[in-house]
Amino acid sequence: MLKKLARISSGLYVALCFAFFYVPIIITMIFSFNSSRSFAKYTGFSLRWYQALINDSEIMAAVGVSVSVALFATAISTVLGTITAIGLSKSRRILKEWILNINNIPIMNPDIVTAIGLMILFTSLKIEKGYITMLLAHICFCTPYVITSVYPKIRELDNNIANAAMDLGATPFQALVKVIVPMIKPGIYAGMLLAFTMSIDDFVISYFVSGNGVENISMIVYNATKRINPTINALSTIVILAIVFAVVVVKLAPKVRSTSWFCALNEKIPKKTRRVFEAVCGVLIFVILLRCGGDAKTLKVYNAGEYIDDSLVTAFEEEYGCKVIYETFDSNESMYTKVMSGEKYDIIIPSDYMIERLAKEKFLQEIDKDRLKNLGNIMPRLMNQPFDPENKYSIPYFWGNVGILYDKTVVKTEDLEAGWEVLRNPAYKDNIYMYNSERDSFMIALKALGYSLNTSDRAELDRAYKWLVEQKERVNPIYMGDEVIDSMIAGNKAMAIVYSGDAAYIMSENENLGFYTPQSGTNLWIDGMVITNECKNDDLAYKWIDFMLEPQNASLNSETVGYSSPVEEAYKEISMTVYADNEAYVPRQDNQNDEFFRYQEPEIKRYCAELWTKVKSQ
Amino acid sequence: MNALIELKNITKTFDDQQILKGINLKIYENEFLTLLGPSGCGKTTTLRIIAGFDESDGGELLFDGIEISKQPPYKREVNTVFQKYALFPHLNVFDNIAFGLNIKKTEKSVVKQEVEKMLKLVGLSGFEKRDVTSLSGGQQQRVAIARALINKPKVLLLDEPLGALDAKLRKEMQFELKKIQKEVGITFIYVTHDQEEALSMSDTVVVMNDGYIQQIGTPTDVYNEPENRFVAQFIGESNIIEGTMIRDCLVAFDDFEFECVDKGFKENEEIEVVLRPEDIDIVAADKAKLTGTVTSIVFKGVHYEIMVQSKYRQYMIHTTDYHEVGLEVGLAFGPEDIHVMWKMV
Amino acid sequence: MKYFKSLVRPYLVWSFIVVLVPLFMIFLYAVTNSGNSLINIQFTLNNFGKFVEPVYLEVFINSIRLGLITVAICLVLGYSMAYIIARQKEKVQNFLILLVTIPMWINMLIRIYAWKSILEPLGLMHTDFAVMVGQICEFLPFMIIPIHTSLSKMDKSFVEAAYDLGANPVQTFFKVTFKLSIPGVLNGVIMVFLLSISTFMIPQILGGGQYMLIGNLIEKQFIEVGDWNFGSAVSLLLALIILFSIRWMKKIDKGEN
Repeated sequence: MLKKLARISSGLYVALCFAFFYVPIIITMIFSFNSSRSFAKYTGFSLRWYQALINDSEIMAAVGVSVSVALFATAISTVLGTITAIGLSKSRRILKEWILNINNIPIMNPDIVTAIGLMILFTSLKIEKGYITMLLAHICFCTPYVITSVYPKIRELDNNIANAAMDLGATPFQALVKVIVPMIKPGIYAGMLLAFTMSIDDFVISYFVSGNGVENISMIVYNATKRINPTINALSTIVILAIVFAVVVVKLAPKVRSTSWFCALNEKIPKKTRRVFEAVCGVLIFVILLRCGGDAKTLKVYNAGEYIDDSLVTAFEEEYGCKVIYETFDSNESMYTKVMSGEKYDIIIPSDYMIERLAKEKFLQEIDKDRLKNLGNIMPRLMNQPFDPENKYSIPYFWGNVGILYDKTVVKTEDLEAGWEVLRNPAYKDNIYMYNSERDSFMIALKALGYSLNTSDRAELDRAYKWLVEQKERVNPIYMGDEVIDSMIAGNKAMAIVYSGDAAYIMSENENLGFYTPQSGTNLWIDGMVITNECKNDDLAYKWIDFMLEPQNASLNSETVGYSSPVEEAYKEISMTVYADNEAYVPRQDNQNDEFFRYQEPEIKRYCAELWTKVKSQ
Repeated sequence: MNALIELKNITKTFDDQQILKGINLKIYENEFLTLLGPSGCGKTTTLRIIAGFDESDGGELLFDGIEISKQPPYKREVNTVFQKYALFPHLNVFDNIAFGLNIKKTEKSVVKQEVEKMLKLVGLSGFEKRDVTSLSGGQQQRVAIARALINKPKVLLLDEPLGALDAKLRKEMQFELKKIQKEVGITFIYVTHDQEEALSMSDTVVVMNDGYIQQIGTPTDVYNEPENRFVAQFIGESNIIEGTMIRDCLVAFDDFEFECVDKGFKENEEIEVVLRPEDIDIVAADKAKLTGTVTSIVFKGVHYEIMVQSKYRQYMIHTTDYHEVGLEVGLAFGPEDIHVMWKMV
Repeated sequence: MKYFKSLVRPYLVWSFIVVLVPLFMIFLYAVTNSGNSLINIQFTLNNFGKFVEPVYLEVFINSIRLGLITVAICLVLGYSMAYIIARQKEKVQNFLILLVTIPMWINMLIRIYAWKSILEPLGLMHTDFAVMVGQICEFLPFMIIPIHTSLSKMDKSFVEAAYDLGANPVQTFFKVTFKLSIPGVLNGVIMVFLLSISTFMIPQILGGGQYMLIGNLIEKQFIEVGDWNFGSAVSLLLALIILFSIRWMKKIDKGEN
C-alpha cells in the first residue's frame, strides 16, 4: 500500500516536472495558430502568422544566417577540432596539457566573458562586425566541444593504428582519411552535433560580436520579447519541431541502423549524402559571396526599434533601386556606444540631446538644405530648437513629450492633480511602470521637484535621486522598456510612463486609458534624421530624408507608429482621422516648464548613471 | 653474402633517456632473426626504426646497401605485424587484408585473388566477410600476418606477436610462423622477451640489454656459450661463479682448480664461469671436488630442481634423480661443461 | 608518431588568437582607463576600486544570492527527479532522459519567450517569481543529467550491502547513495551556478529593467554606457568567481574521495 502510494506520488512528481518543461513550449506552439494577436485568448485557428513569417524578410534572413553560420561553423570546427585532437594524441605531454587547458577556457568561461573578449578583439583588429565576425566567434566556441568529444575516442585507439596503415603503404593523409577518421567517427559525429546545436542556439556571443544588420534567430527573438508578436511563435514552433525531429532521429538512428533494410540502404547512401552536402555548401558559399559582393548602392540607416512603417523601407528601395540596411537600437546611449565602437552608418535617427552631442563631437555632416525639396513641409515651430539652432545637422523625424498613461477606471482624477507625485502615491503600490531609462526617470524626479531637467547641480540631482529611491520604497515600480506597450494594452498596471507617441498607439488599442502631462513640466523632444561623416552615398541619404518628408509617407509612418509627425499636412490629417480625440497624439506646446533635453557634460552624465544604478539595485 | 639490412651505430634518445646506445647489426635474406631482451632493452625501438615509425638520432640504416633512415614507412619494402595486431576495426577481414593493395589501386580481381591466397596461407579461408572484432586472438593474429604479407615485403617485422595468446596457442603459432616463413621465403625480424620462443624459432638470436647488443649468434651458441653474465642469466638458468683464469684451459673457483676448454684469456684474469644446472651431476660426496648439503628439492615435471649449499654459494642442479634434503653430496662436471666468460664491467 | 604532431599547429595559432589574446585584452582594459583607444594607456586600479561601492557590491551580492538559491532549488528538484528516473527500467530511463534533454536542445531565447507568453496573461511578469521560474526551467536539466549519470552508473550491490549491514533506507540513502553520487551533484551544481550567475537574458526579459545582475551590469557597460574598462573589470571578476568556485568544488570532490 505504502509502496503503491510512493510510486504514484513519484510518477506525479515526474509528470509535474515535465509539465514545467513542456507547457510553456506547447502554449507557444498553440498560440502560433491563434487568429488574433492576443496571448490571453485563443480566438480561433489560423495560419496567418506563418504567412507573416514567410513574408518577413528580416526573420527569413535571420533564419538564413543562423543556419548558414551553424553549417559553416560546424564544418570548420569539426575539421579543425578533429585534426587537433589527432595531433594532440601524438604530442608531447606538456604541449598536450597546455592545449587541453586552453581548450577548457571557452567551455568553462561564462559566455558573456567570451563574448566581450571577442568583441574587444574584433574591434581592436578593426574587423567590421557582421557575418564574418559571427562565424569566427562561432568557430571559436564550437571547436573546443569537438575536441573534447573526439579526443577520448582517439585515446581509445591502438597506438599503432596509423603506423599500421602507413606500414601497408598509406601516406599519412591516406592513413588519416581511410583509417583514423573512420574509426573515430562516433566521436566526430557527437562533436559535430554538439557544435551545430551550440551554434544555432547561441545568443550571447552573437549578440556582442555581430553587426551591420546581421542577426540570427536568437537575436530576433530577443528583440521581439519586448512586444507580443505571434510571428515569433510561428518561428519558435518551426524551430522546436525541427529540433525535436532531429533529436529523435539521432537517438533512434543506432536502432534503425541495425535493421537489415537499413544496412542494405546504407551502402549506397554515403556518396549521395556527401554530394547533397557538397551541393548545399556550394549554394551557401554562393549566397554569401553574393551577400558580400557589394551592392552598388546601399544606405545604412540606424533607427530606434519599432519606429518606422517597414513598408516605407521597401518602397524606398524600389523607388531608388538601392538596398537599405536597416538596423535598430534600444536607446540613444546604446546607439552612441555602438557608433563609437566603430560601426558605420549613413543615416542615424537620434534624439535632440544626442544630436547635440554627436554634432559637438564632429560626427555629423552639415546638411545642405538646398538639396531637400520637401523641407518646407515641416512645421516651422519645430525648427531652430536650442539643441540644433538653424537645423544645421538634423531634420525632424518625429516629436512629442513624455507623460503618464493611466487607467481611467483605476486612477482617481483628484489623485492626478498631484502631478508627478501621483507616481509616489502608496495607493498605487505595485501598480506602476516606470521607464527603464536614466534620463527619463531623472527628468520626472527633477520636474516633480521643480528643477530644470538639464540641471548640473549635484545637490539637485541628489534630491532627485532621493525622490526616486523613496518612490521605489513606497510603490515598488517596475522599470520597463518597449514591453510597456503590450503590458498597458493588456491593462496590467494602473499607470505607466510612456512617450506620447506610444501612448497614442496604446490608447487606440485600449479605450480605458488616458494620457496626462503634469503642469510642473515635462520633457519635450524631437528625434531628427542626421547624416554622418562616414556617409558613403550622400545623394541617397538626402533622398531618404526627402522621402520621409513626403506628406503621404509621413502620414503612413505616423499612423503605424503612433508618434506625431513634424510634417504639417500629415500631422493635421492624422490628428483629425486615426488619432482624433487622442490627447497623446497632440503634445501640448504651451507650457513654460516643458524643456528639451540638452547635452550633458560627461561628468554629470557619469554621476547620473551611477545614481541610477543605485536606484535600480536598491 | 651481402646483408639485406644493415644497422651501423644506430642511437636513439626519448625524453632524455638513451634507448639505443649504438646498435650494429647485419640481417640477411631468408633469415629468421630474433631480437631478444627484457622490456626496455631497445628491441622494439630497433624494430620501429627499421619500419620507419621512429627515426634514429644517429647512425646509418642501409637497405640493400641504400641509406633509408629518412624514408617514410609507406615507401619501405618492409611490413609489420603489431603487438596488438592493430587491425582496422571498421573493416572486415577481406578489407583489412586488401588494405595495402587497395592503397596501391590494384585491380579488383587481382585483389580478390591475392586475398584468397593469403587467407589460405594463414588458414582462414571463408572468413572474408567476418568482422575482425569478432575473431579470436589467434585468428586476428593470422589476419595481421596475411595483411602484411600480401604486400610481398622483403622483410616482415613482428613485434611480440604472440604476447597476447595463451601458452598452448603460442606453441602452435610458433610452429605456424616458422612454416609460413619457409613458405614465403623472406626475412623475418622477430621481437620477443621470451627466450624459449627465440631459441625454438630463430636462425639468429640477437640478445639485447640496456641499449646495447649483448650477443649475436645461433640459438645453440647463445645458450651454450653466453658471452657475459647477462646473456647467461637471461637465457636459461645458470650458476654463475666468479673465478680466475690461471692459464689457458685451467680455471680456479671456490678454492679449487678445474680443467676447461676455454682459451684466449690473460693469465690470472678475473673471469666468470657458467655452469648450467643440467650439466652438473650429483655424486657421492667423496667423488667430487665440490661438496655441499641438499637444502631443497622441487619436482618440476620432467626433472627435479635441487639446491645444494656449498661453502661459498648455492648451486642449482637439474637432475632426474631424487636426493633427500640434508644429504651431503658432491657436485661433478666435466671440462666441456665449464664455460668461461668475460667479467662484466 | 612524428607524422601527426604538426596537426595541432593550426589550432595552436588559432586558440592563441581567439582565446588567449581576448582574455589578455579584457585584462588590459580592466587595468587601464583610456577607453577604447589603445594609444595612450594609463594603468589604474580604479575599475576594481568601484566594486566596493555599495551599488556594485549589491549587484554582486544579489547575483550570487540568486545563483545560490537557483542552485539550491535545482538541486532539490533535480536530485529527486534524477533519483526517480534512475530507479526505472533502462528503456524507461532512456526515454525520460531524452525528454529531459530535448528542452536543452531548443534555443534558450525561445524558451524564455515561451515563459513570457504564459506569465504575461497571468500578470506575473517582472516579478522575482518570474525570474526564478525562468532560471529553474532553463537550468534544471543541467542538474538532472549529471546526477542521473552518476546514480545510474552506481553499482546496486552497494545499496544491497548497506541493507545487509543493517542500515535502514534513510541511512542507506544518505550514507551510501548520496555519497556515491556526489561527483554528479558537484558537476550539476557547478553548471547551474555558472549559468545562473552569468545570464543576463532571463532577468532582462522576465524580470524587467529593475533587475540588475552581473551579466546585466556587463552588458550595460558595453552596450549602453560604453565604459569598456569597467565592463572588462566586472567580466574579469566574474571569470574569477567562476574559476574559484570550480576549484573549490573540485577540492570538495577530492576531499570526499
